[in-house]
Amino acid sequence: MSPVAAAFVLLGSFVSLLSGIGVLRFRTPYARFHAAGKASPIAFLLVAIGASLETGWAGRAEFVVVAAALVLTLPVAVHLLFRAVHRTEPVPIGRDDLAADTGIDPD
Amino acid sequence: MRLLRRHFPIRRVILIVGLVAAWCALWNRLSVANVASGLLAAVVVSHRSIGPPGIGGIRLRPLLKLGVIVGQDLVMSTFNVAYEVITPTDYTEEAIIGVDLPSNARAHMMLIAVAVTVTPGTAVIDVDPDTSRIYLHILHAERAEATAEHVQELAELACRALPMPTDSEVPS
Repeated sequence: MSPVAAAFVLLGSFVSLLSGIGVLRFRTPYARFHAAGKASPIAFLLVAIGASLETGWAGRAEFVVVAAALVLTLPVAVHLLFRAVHRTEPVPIGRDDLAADTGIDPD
Repeated sequence: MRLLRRHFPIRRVILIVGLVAAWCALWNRLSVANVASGLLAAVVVSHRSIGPPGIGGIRLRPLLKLGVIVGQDLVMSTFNVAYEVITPTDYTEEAIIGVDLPSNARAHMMLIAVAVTVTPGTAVIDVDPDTSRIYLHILHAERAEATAEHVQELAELACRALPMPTDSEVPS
């Protein structure tokens, strides 16, 4: 494996590790989703870039398809998690325009 | 020839080419059989009765600009969230803010929501299509104004990149 590819794969794994630590460290479910759901496409993209430096064009084409599917669908899943938490067990946070507009009291 | 152009307008041809490319990428090989079967599948799924409605246009330059901005956001905010994770003191102050989008952005809600959610540090919690108001969760409450402005800029770019006919012409 070339050093550049290895660097990309390592960087991607590092981002993945950070998101794992973020899940443990952040206090509210919202912040945890940020760490868990948002960093993973970036981690995947970095690892995929690193791996596609090693594979041929066929592998690269497949990575492009997988990356597009991930980047387009993951935000929807994350959004649904956020909405589910807000609708079932809203956590009181500093400023909540949605609760104010819809009349839900997060306390 | 006219019949050909009626059934295969340039928009559909581009869609078919893209679909065949994705098909071959999934099969991992560019062969005559793959291209032929991909063409067949693409022609079927892009048929008028099941394919996308094909309304509105595409402007490449704003679309590219949108892609570049979302890419920059992605990188910058990853650093931001990573910084919050690494540093021992927690500087995050969460907030849920409502951002009013221009009313012509209604048709682009999906694109805007994905573009906003894909960047760490901001996430769409809810969307109100009636008032075209979008509710975001952000990690740094002090940057609420800047974030709102940024999202409005994204929405404006999305509207310019994929112009839609006016609301009355769009079948709902």
